[in-house]
Amino acid sequence: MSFFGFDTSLPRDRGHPAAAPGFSQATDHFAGLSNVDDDDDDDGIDFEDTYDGLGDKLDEKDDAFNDVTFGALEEAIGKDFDFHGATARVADAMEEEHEVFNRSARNQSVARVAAAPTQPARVEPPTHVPVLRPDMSLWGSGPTAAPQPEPQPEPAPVAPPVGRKILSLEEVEAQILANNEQRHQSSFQQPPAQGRQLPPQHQHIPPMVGPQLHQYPPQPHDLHQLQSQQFPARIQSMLQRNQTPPQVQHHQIPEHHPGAVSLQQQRMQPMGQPLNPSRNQYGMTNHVPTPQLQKMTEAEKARFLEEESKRLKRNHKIAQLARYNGLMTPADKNFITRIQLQHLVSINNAEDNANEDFYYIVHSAIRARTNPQQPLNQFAQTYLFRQSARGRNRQQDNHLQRMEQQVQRAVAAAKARPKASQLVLEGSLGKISFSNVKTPRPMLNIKKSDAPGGEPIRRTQHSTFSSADRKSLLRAIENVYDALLELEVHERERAKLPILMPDQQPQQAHVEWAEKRDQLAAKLWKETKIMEPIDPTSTATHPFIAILSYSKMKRAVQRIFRHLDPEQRVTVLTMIVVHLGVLDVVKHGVYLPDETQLPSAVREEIEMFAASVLPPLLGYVYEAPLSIVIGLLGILLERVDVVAVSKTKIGLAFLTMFSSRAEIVKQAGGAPENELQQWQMMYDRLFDSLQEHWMECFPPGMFVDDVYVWQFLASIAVGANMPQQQALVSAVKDRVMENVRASKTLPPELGAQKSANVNLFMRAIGLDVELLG
Amino acid sequence: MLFFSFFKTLVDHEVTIELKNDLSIRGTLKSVDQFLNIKLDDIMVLEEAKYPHLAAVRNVFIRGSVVRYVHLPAGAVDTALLEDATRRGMFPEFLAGG
Amino acid sequence: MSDAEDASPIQEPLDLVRLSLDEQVFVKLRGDRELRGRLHAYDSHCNLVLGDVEETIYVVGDDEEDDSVKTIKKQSEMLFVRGDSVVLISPQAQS
Repeated sequence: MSFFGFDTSLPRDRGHPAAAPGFSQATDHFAGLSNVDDDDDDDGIDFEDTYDGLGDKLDEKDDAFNDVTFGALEEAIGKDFDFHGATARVADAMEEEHEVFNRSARNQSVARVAAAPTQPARVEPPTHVPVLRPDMSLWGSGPTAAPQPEPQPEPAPVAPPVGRKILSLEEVEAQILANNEQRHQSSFQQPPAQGRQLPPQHQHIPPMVGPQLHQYPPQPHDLHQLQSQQFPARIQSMLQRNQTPPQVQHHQIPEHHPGAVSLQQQRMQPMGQPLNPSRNQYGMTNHVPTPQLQKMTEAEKARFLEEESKRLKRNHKIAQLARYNGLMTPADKNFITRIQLQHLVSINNAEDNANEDFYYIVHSAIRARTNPQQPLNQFAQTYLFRQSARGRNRQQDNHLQRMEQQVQRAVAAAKARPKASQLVLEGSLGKISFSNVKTPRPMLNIKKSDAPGGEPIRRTQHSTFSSADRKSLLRAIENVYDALLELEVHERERAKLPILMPDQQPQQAHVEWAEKRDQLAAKLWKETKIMEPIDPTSTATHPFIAILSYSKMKRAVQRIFRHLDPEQRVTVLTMIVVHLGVLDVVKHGVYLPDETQLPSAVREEIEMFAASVLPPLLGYVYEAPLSIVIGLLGILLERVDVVAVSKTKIGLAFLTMFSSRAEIVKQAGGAPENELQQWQMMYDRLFDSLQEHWMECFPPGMFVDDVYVWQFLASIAVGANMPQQQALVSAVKDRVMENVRASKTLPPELGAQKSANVNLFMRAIGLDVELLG
Repeated sequence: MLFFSFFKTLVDHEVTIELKNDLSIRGTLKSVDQFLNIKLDDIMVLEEAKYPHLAAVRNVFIRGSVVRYVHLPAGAVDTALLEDATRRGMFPEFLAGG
Repeated sequence: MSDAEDASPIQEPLDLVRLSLDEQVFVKLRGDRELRGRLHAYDSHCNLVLGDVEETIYVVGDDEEDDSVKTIKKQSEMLFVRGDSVVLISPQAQS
């Protein structure tokens, strides 16, 4: 029984023990056909000629399980052994095999089928499979149940190789079963059931059936007869192909599988070619039930043929649909499904989407905001602060307005205070005749002082840095941005945290979030390089000041400031004040003797500084206690050339910032006496330093932007004592007169602006331009 | 996707598209897709005399690949935001949500 | 400043371009064109947005005798450049 050790692979791949001659003969036939080189009519086939020797390689060690697989073997297997039932157990595996086989068969047929080139032999698409469940009751009878691969031991002696009339396995079985099972006979004779399903064996049939055909040589006249009966061409061709004589009763399977027929039609156009095993299989099992057709009435035939063609159409459709079946493995499909799912998830994930479409989302959020009070979303909040782009001065204006407001507050506070000095001041100004502003006295045309003392500064941008330095500075700035963006992303993560009631303890998530925030903030702080030690002996610019010379770093300052604690903010401010003299915007912001305008690159940097760096600093100073202001001004006076700094817009901005803040604190009262004294000392030092240089604060030319100078003078004037005010007035009175005169030549709007600028100063000393003329 | 995102903010703005064949078309940006194909309305060809056959055309679809430049209204571009968007785009680890 | 280099090594060519973000750059294009302007955006296709751009086009005289190169200069305040025209992007120190 060693041949029961088969597994589910195709039988032809299996060897058989030579000990079972009858059986091996049957296999022999098959092997002979599949090798094609066997003559159809050869009488008797020598086993040794065809045996492939595979049987010797058969693994018999698992034969012990045969009992389990095939049931009790103690009982002798009778002649009625149910091969079909045994085969059905392995039907699934065989189906698979069949698929594989078909696929390879398909390729072969493509090459051969010239008549149907557009439909390259879609054989047995998988969709057919469910349709092809066997009708057990019908097929149990066995003439066609033969193709099962496992050899049957008993029939072997029954069907010995007898000359040219060799009985096939199924014939043998048929005979046996026909004897034993009368009831099967009845089903056997049933008229063909339309659309009857093909038993699975027939799909997995090893091409064993092929040899059988040759045992029944074609009978031409029969064929002609059939053809004359107006069979559809496909059926005729089928008949020819299979050359199955009608009278071979047990081959006239009353079964008819439409799919198989149609497939056959597609594949079998070329005649007379060596039979492909798979064709044989179909030809055998599906061929038209000729006898039944013959018995049919004309009407039945017509109906049959009509239904036949319907089925054909349907099967063709299915075949079409199933054309690409099996192209993708389940793993491929899984892979695609995963990608699609990922896609869906990312579309639905707002955060991811926001990253993809970052610019659009934030931009729209900012632009769409018609009402300034309307809350911005998380993204837009970050960006609204620095909406001013290069060359557009909105923020710059804001900054100036703020500065002006601050100065005005200082002036107003000073005016509210009873001032004995006013009379004197009026007296001092009263000496000047304002009666004829159009023809000012020539003697008042004091020679305009050129920028004194300073050797011309070469203003090549970033000239102090070599190109290697430049690269590392730029990289440092990008590192700052990385840290900044990371921190900002993290800040937005906060919105995802559960909302915390005021009395609740922070949850783990909150603690972790805060830790990460601190960590990122520390990283950002480090990247600014602000804590790198100041080396007074070194000529190299401090790294923070160096990267601050790039406009993109200037832009970042405002954003960075939001993430700094007060102490860090003072540090930033101090660092800038200490290096005020070497700040690019100050160093390059001085007008050269022959210049009436700064180079555009310098102007851009100054604007950027004013728009982006000053506001956060101002914001801090305007809240700062007097001691801080004193300290900062002290550092400035100590380390920086105040006269040089005062010639620049940014330098003056810092001085204005300090003096106006101090004045407001002073007026508000409540400041400790010693601080006030300290401040007075600082102020006096500042005043003395700038004495004789007041006019140098003004940019060259009359019709230029000089409002920042008037702001500065006003902030100084409020805090000045009488002699200081007098000195101040006499120093700048020419400029006052020129401006008032110029304002009258300008268009009303610009003129009003210009005189308003002057008036800021005039009011600080208790006067008004109106008084002048 | 940065530039797709960017161009979406310029919808309804007037732009001038210079093609690789030197043809310049001014018009209102109506739509853009991820390939930066562009649809323009109310178009005007800058050198009308040179390309008279386009005189009667009101709107065009321009395949993205034939574009050389798009001249943009500077006022409609938030450069700081754009630079940040570029920085983010170049660093996928931030895209992952930080 | 040396640790700046350590902190972010150049990983890929476009990282170098990133250093020029918001800086003046020089861009060479197909068709004998050059651009100078401030780099506001770029992507992996070398699509660019430049601000305050000056375009220089080099045109060889039509005449066969005349092989002198003429230059045409054009200005644009904001310019999108399609990446497939770009030959190189170079940082340009301000002059």
